[in-house]
Amino acid sequence: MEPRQYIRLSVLNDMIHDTISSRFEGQRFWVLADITNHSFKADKKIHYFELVEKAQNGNAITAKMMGKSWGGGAIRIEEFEKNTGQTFTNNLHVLVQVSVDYHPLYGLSVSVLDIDSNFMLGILEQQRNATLERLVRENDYIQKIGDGYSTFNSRLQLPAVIQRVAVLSSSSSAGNEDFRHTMQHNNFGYVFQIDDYYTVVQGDNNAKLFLNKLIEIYNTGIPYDAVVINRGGGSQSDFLIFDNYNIGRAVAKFPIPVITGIGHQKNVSITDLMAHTNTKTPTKAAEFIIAHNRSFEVEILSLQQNIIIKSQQLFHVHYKELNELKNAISRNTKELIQMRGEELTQTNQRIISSSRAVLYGHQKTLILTVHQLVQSPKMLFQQKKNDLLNLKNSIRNTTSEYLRHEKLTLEYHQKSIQMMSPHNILRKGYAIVKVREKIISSAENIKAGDEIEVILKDAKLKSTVKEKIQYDGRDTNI
Amino acid sequence: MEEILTYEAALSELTAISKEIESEEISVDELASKLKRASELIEFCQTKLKNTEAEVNKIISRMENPEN
Repeated sequence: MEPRQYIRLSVLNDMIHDTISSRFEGQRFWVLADITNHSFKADKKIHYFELVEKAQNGNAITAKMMGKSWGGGAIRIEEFEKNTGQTFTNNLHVLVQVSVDYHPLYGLSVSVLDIDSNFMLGILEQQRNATLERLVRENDYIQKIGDGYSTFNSRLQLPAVIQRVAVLSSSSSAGNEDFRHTMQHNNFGYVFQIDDYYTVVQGDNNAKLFLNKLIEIYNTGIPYDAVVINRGGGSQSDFLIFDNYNIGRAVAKFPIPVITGIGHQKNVSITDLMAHTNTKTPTKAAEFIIAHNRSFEVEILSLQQNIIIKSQQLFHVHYKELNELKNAISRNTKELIQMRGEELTQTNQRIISSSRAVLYGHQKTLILTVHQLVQSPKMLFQQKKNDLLNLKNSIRNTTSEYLRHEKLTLEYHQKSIQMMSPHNILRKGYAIVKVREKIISSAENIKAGDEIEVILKDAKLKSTVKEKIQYDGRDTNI
Repeated sequence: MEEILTYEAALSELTAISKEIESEEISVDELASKLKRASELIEFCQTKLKNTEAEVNKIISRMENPEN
């Protein structure tokens, strides 16, 4: 067999290069396209991206071209950003001036030399916005809050610990392997149950399969803590499935928290916005779950630490309290005993001194009494003596007085008697009449013819009564 | 007579005795018996505290080294 004629690839590529050069060299075209998969090397000021064109209705891509821009083109892009306030980035629908290049190693591409600032928003972005608006408009469990979205799913509370995880990914995904590896080799020894649900996670037309898989997860009835949607890296256009309305809606109302690990660095998909938590790669999704569990463990550890510290503090407080009580009781008891002792001593002193005072008082009274007792007989004696003396004097005085009085009385009686003596009476001219030898004082028993004797001072006259005359005695009234 | 005493009850009785002594309300007749009671209560409280602390420390060390 004849050996086949062949050429080296480089020769082929050189041929392509020559053909393209001869056709496109020096030519410039204004092209309408969307930007995807954009990146910017800031140090070299080079933009890398893809230009895409999509079908009029839907997200299907109909044309695609590698693109780059540096030097003058990059400066024009900078001006575009300044003019429009819009970053040159994915989903931008732009009108760019390009030249066509071919490189044997890097292939076919266009260089953007200029950009029309009038095309501000790309159709992709407009569609994306329209889808988001429709989601909010048609589903009451989706609300736009500031720049983000609040959905039934995003409002779900993640369980304190995530252990049972359902993973929705493509079977061939390297990103999914990263996720599983990160989960299973975590530094904290957390054990996870990871159930894989494989589906096709690219291309807008596979949305139905994806959706069915999501429903399958729900229908297993397994109480998953979270559902993780994983997708490894790839070009921007491969992620259009995640901007699908039905998938966004299903994620928004899914009853298990959805965590996305959709590998892209530039865009946030609608699925990301509807999910509970979005991360940029499957690995980051795993790290989020581990960090979530770790924060729970840290909280538990801190509670444990708190309990240890607080219980130690509590013991310290109780020991201190008990010690203070012990010291207070022993100190106060000693003080009390000392005080009572002092009181006792004082009382003792008082008793001694007051006893002495009482004794002294009695002694004084006794001495006084004795003194008085000694004094009293003398005085009584004296008094009696005085009384006696007085009595004596009185008796003496009374006696002499009495005697004198008696003498005077006697003298008087003597004189009276003397005066009344018949002799004296006779001398005064009176006479005594006797009858029959008896002195009479009345003439009653005398009658005429009786003999009477009249005695005078110096003679006795014997007489006979011649006559008796009665009178009233007035003759004696001389 | 074995009495069932709680730490709280012992502590409040101890506090009451301490106050009684401090405010000099206590009579000398009761002083010795009250003091004896106080010392029993202190011993009870201390023992209880020490035992509880030992137990708590044991639990804590089990908490910190769950494998052991």
